[in-house]
Amino acid sequence: MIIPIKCLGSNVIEWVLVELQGRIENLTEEQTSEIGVLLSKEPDGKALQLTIGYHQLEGKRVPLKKPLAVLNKCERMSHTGDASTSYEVVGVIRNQYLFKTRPRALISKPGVR
Amino acid sequence: MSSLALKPGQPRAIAFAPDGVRTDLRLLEVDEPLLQEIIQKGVVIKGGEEDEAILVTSRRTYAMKVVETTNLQLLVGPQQQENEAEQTLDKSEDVAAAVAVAAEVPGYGSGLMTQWNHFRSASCQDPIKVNATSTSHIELVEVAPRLEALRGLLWQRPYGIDDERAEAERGGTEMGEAAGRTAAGYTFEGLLAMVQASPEELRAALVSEGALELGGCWRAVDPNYLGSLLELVLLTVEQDSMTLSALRASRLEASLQPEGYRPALVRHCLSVYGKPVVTDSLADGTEIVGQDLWCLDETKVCIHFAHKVMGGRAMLLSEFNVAWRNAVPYGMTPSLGMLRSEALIDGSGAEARISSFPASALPRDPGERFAALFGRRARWEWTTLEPYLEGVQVPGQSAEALLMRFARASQLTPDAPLVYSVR
Repeated sequence: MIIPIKCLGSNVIEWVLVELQGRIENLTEEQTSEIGVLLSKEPDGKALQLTIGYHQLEGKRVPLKKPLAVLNKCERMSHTGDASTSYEVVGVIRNQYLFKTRPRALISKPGVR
Repeated sequence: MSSLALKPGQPRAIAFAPDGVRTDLRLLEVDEPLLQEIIQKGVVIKGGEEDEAILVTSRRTYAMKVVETTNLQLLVGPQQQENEAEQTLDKSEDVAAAVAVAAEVPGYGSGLMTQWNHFRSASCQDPIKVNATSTSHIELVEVAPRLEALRGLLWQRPYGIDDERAEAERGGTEMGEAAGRTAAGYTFEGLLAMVQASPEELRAALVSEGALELGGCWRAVDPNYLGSLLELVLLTVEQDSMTLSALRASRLEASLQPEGYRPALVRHCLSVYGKPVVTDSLADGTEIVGQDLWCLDETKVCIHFAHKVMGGRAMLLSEFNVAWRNAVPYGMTPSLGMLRSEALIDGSGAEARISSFPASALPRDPGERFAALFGRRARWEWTTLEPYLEGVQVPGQSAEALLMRFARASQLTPDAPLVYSVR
């Protein structure tokens, strides 16, 4: 069985990876696609804050040691009835925004405005 | 974009993409050269249903391993470029100012008001959209190509005396054979599809297995048949007074064709037991076209006669040496060093006996090869063992590492040579 991996087009699109420890759960009843708010404090991406609900995580932008190719699986039926599988490169990831600190719960201090 | 283009002090919302979040995209860890090869030429995953998946480039082979993580990986694809200036100006100037203050004063960033400001500021722009999530990626480990299957395929129908006879009866040409009843053997593409190896590795393996290409199809050649052909070639060389180091293939083909040997086979014999000589023209000024000039390799020819003399049994070394010297062609001198990976000598002195043990017949996989070696002889010295490890490669592991893994070293006395035995 031969499964080709190829890239359509000569340039590959850059993607970005945001990595969190654990899982995100939506505790409200409404359907929402929101995750949180991302804030960069320094221009070089070394101090990042991600606020999800009432938790805040600190992180930084880290270049990956080896880039990751993002592959999409294509199943195709040829006219002879054989199914053929191939993978297409839809993007490459060279940087990740890594949040690995323990989330800090934000408690509003009374009196501070 | 290789980053999210976050402006310091300007919060952005991050959300799952409204048009759906995929979980079926696969992440493959690559290095830059491999990535370039995928973009420019493409690579291929090969394997039967029971095999491990192997990724193959034009030159190398890699095993694919899935690495899971308990982290959540959010994949952010290319974002729409919004007209940021328009969006932020009228709505969030004051918010931005408050956020900027909060960002600079320590302790100020976590109050409820600040968070609310962040949220408002972030909602002035489209959120960063997460297009996919993932919890694993695929790592590639370079491995030796899986060539065991190749031997089985090449030896399904080795070319031998029957094929010669059938050819003679048909009186066919090369074209007739290809179009004829069965082109026995496999095409290069056919072999590539079935063997987990890159094209470059496959070509090298075909050469080292001495495979014959006839009409585009590859197969092995019956060694007895090839051996007889070699001897006939040597006889013809002597009769026509050609020099062993400058043989004209065309003359040999012409002499042997009446005996029923096809030119392609004669050439194949020359390529197995010799090599082409690269030269522009001979002393007599005639031009050589293509690879017509060949030189026989003394070692390979002597090895052939050594095996013939031994005849598959153990022989007294003294008798062997005499018989061998008589068997090799005039002008060639045999020496025991030539047989370093072809035969083993047991015992010593007057009782020394030699027997056939060609490395080419042993398995390529390191574990299996060591098993075969220790099966034949329990204890090996390094000088005798080393030639039998030459065909065994595992990328990233040296011969020393293999020895440590599969063999146990011991020494009778501190100055005695190291002896290896089964672990």
